[in-house]
Amino acid sequence: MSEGDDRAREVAELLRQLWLGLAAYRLFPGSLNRPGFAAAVERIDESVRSALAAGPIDVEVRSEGFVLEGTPLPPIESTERLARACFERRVERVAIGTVPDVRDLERAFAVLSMPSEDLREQGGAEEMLASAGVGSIVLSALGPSAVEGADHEAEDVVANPARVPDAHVLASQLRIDDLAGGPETQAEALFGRLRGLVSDLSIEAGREIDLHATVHDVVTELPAELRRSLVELLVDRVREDPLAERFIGTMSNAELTRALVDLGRDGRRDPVELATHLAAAGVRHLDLVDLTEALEAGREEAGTILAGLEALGVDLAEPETVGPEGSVTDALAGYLTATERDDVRTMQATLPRTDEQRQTSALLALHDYVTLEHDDERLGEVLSMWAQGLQSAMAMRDPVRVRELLEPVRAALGGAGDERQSLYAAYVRQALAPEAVLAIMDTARAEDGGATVPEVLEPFGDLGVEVLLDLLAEADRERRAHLLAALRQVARGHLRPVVARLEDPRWYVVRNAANLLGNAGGEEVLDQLVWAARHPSAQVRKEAVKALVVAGGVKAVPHLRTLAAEGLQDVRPTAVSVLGAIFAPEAAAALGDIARSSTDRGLRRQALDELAEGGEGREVLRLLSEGDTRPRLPWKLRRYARRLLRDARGAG
Amino acid sequence: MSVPTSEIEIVRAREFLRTLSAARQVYALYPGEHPKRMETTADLTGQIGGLCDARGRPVVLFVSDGNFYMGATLLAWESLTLNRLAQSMAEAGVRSLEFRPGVTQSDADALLRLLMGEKGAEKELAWIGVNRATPVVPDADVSGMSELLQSYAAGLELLRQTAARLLAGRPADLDATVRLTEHLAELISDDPAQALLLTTVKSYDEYTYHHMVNVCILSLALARAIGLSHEQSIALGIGGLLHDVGKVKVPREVLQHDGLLNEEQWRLIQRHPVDGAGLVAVTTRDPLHPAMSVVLEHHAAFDGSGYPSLSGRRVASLPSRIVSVADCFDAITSKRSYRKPEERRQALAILQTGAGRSFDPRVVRTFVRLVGLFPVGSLVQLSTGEVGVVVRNHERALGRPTIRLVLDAEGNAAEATEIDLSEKVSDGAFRWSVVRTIDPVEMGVDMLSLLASGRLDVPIPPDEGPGLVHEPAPGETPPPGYVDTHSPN
Repeated sequence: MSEGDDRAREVAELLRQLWLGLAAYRLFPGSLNRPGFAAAVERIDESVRSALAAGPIDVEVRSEGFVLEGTPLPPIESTERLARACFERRVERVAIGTVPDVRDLERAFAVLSMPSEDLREQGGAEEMLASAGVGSIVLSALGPSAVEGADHEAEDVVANPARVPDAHVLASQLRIDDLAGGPETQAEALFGRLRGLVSDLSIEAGREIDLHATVHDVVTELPAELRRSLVELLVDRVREDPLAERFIGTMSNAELTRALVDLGRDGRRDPVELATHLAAAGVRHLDLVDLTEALEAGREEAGTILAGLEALGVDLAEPETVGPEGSVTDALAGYLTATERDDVRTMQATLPRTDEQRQTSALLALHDYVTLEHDDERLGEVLSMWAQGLQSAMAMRDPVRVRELLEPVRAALGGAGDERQSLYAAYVRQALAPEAVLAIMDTARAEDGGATVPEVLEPFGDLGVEVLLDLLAEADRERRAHLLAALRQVARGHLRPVVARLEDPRWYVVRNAANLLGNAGGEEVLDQLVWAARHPSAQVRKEAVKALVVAGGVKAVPHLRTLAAEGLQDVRPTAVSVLGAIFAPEAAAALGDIARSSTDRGLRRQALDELAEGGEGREVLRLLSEGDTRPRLPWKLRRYARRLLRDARGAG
Repeated sequence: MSVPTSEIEIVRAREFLRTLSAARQVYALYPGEHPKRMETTADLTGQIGGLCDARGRPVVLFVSDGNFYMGATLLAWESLTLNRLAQSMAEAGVRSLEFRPGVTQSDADALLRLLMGEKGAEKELAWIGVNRATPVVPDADVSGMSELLQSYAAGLELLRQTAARLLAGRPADLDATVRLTEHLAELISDDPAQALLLTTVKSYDEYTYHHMVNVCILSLALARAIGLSHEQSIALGIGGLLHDVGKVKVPREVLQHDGLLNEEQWRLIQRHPVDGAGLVAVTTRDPLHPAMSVVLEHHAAFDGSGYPSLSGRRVASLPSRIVSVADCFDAITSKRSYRKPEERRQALAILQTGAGRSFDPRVVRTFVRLVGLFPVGSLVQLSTGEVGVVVRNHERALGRPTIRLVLDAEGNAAEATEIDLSEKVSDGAFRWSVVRTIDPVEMGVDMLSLLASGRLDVPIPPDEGPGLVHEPAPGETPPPGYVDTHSPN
C-alpha cells in the first residue's frame, strides 16, 4: 500500500470518528461528561494524532463526501453523513492543525448541529468558531471552486454505478439449491462458495460494504436450518477466519442480534454466550451482549430501537450512551427531536420551487415510463396526450418547452428498435398536424414578438422538416412563401428529408427540394443537386443549377463546368450564366475553358459575355482575345472578345 | 333498555347484509322476472328467516351516519365495506328495516326494488317494516373519526369503482379522486393523530383497496409534517391513493400467492409501477402529472436498487420517497397470504433498519417523529398490566404517547380512560411505562370496531352506555321521530 493510501485511510478514519462524535453530541447536547461522548472524544483524539503525524489535515467537503489533496476519499456511510452535515451548513473545508480538546470539539459539533439558517445569521461556521476561540479546527468556505461539481450529484451517481450483484443474483451464483448433506455440511460448502465468489468479484474500492450487506440479505433468506448453521460457523471462526470476521463485523447490530437470537431458537446455542464471545474477540462492542439479552428476553425496546438508532446514524458503540436517567427510547427520541429541523429544512430544500423544477422530475419520470412501457396500446394513449402537450407548447410558441417535452421521449424511443422509433415518429407527426403548424404560422405572422416558426419547429429535427415539406407540397402560393422561408432555416442540419424529396414524382416538390438544398445546404449537397440538374423537368433542372451556386459558391465551379459541357441542352446556358455570377478566378477559368473548347458556338459566345462582366473574367477575356491561350480561340471569337473588352473599357 | 345481541345474531346479520348488497347488484344487472332475481330473493328470504330465528323476535337493522347497527351493536366491517348499500338505503330514505318472522320472497323482491329507487314498492311490503326516522337521534355533531370513517369508506368505494373502470378499459374518475384526496387532506390537517389511527383498519380480502387508502392517509400526514404546499400534498395524496393501481393488471392468484414467486410471477408484480403510471397518465390526461412519477417510483429504493430501475440510477423524487415509506409501513403491518402482519412498532424498526438503503433516512425519521416511537394505533401493555391503544403521539417525548385504555389488568373491557405516559410522579419518575406492544389480533381487539364506536375518539361518559342507537324495548317510550312498525296502522 502506498503512502497516499495510508494517509487517505487515516484521514477517513478521523472523519468517521468525528461523525460518531457528532452523533454522540447530538444525542445529549451539552452533556460533555456522558461516557458515550467522552469515549468518542478519546477516539477522535487518537485518530487526530495519528493523522497529524503526516502533517496538517485539510479536506474539501463535497455534498457526498470528502476530497483529500484532489482525490476523493472512499465513500463510507458515516463520512458521507459528516460531509452532508458540513455541506448543508456551507462548510466547504475542514482543516485540523492541532489536536482539538473537548471544548473545541464541543463548539465544532454545536456549530454542525445548528440549523443552517441560524448559522448563516450568526456569521457562518468559520466566524463562530473563530469568535469562540477555537484554533485547532477550521470549518470554512472555500469559494466557488471548492464546490464545483457539488451540484452534479446525479451525474456522479451515473458515473459510479455499483458493481455489487443484488441479493437475487448473488443467491443464484451461490447455487444454494445444489447444496447437499446435513445443515453443517451445507453451511461449510456455502461458506466455501462465498469465499470463492468474494475473491472472484471485482468490487470497487469502498463498495465492499455493499457486498457484505448483500451477503447478509442472502443469509437472511436462507432456509432456517442452513441459516443457523452458517451463522454458527461464522461466529465460531470469527477469531481465525478474516472472511468470517468481515461478515460478522459488517452486520448491523440489528442483523447480528437477530441472527444470534435465531441461533438460540432450537436451544442448540446460547445467544448471550455467543454475543459475549464476539465481544471478547473484539469483533463487536459489549453493547451486543445487552442487546442480545434484551431481545432474547422479549424486551422489544432494546431489540428494535437499537437497530433503529444504528440505521439512523446514532452510534451506540458504548453501552453507557444510554444513560441511567433515560431509556434507549428516550435517547432516540432526543436524537429525533434534535434532528427534526435539519431534516425538514433539507427535505424542503429539495422540493421543486419553480414550475421548471417541478417539470424536471416529471420529465425524468416520463422518460423512464416511456422506456419501460412495453404495452404499445397503453404507450400509444400516453404518447397521444404527450403529443397534445407538444401542440400546446407549439401554440404558445415556446421552443424551450417544446424541446423539454421532446427530449425525454426522443431519448427513450429514438435510439430503440425500429418499431419504437416509428412509434415516436407517429406521435411527433400527430403533434405536427398540418392545422397545428399552419395555425402557429398564422399566429406568428399576425403577432409581433415571441419565437419565430423556425425556432419553434427546430427541436423536431428531421421530422419537423418532413412535415413542413408535406405542407409545402400542398400549400397555396401565399403559404408556400412562408413555408419556404421557415424551411430554409429549419432544414439547416436536417437535410436528409430534403434530399429524399429529390426522388418525389411531383416535379414541383423536387424543385422546392432543390431550392431548399441550395439555401440550407453546403457543399455536401452538390452531388445531389448535379443529379437533380438532370431531372426530366426543365424547371427542376434550372432550379438545381441555381441552387448549386447558392449551396457551394466557388466549390460548385467544377460541377457547373461539367454541366455546361455535358448537361442537357437547356442546362448548359444556365450553368454558364451561373458561372458568370461567381466572382472567383476558378469561375473565370472555367468560363475561359468553355469559350475555348465547347462545341456549342452560342455557348462559347455566352461564356465570353460572362467574362466581360468584370473582375477576374476580363483578364481571361484579354488573354483569349489576344490568342495567348492553347487552344486558341477561333478568329471570329477573338474579334468578338476584343469588341467585348473595348465595350467594357468604354463603359468603364 | 336495549335487547342484548348474541354472537350468532351478529354473524347472521352480517351475512344478511352482504347478501342484500349482492342482491342489489343482481337487481341492477338483471331485468324483472329474470331467474337470477328469483334465485337471489330466495336466498335473501332464507337469510332473513335464519336471522329472525336466531333473534327469536323481529329484527331491526339501522343505518346511521353510513354505519349499520343491529340494536346497539355496530356492524363495523359492513359499515366500511358495504358503502354502496348504505348509500342506496339513504337514497331510498330507509333509516331502519324491521324483519318480522314470515318474510316472503315477494317481500324481499319489493325491498330490493325499493332500494333500486322504485318508491311504490314500499306498499307491497307485508312482513318488512321500513322506518324513515332514526330511532334515537344520535349526537348532532359528527365526530372527526366518524367523518374520517365515512371518507375512508368513500375511498374504498372509489377504488373499487376505479378498478372496475380500469378493467373495463375506461379511465378512473379523476375529479372524484381529487375531491377525496382534498377532503382527506383537510381532515388530516385538522387532526393527524385521528387519521393515523384510521390506518389501523385493514382487510385481508380487500387488502389492496385498504392499503391504498392507508398509504394515501400516511403520505398526506407525512406531507403535512414536512411542510409540503397544498398543491404538492394533493398531488402526493393522489399518487398515494393510486400507487398500486397497476395491480389491477396482476392476476389475483399472483397477488395472493402463498410462497416464493416464480420468475414470471415476479415479473408480473414488478410491472405494476409501470402499469400504474400509464393508468394515472391516462386518467389525469397528463403524462407529466406529479402523481405519475409517484406511482412509477414508489418501489425504487433510495440507494438506486428496487424496481423499476430508474435511468442513470437517479434517486426517486421526494414525494415518491414519502409514499415508499408509507407503503412499506402499511404493507408490513397488514396480513397477507404469505406472512403474518408485523406489529406497528416492529414495522417501525424494519423501516429504520432500511433507512439509507431502501428508504430516505430523513423521511423515515420524519415518519417516526410523526407516529411516535410507539406508533399511533399500537396496542400496548403498561407496567400496570392494563392494555391501551396509542391515540396520540407526544410532540417532544416521542416515547411517551397518550393512550386510551381498552382492557384492564385482568383482560376485561376497561373504561376508555386517557393516559398520558409523559406524566411524572413527585420523585420525577414516569408514572407509567410500556412493557411491550401487543398484536391486536392476539388479544382479540378489533381496531375498526373501537374506532367506529368512538372509544378512541372522545371519552364516553359512563352513564351513556356504549351504543349510539337502540331499539326501544316493548313498553319503552320511543324517542321523537320513531315510527313503530310493529303496530298495524
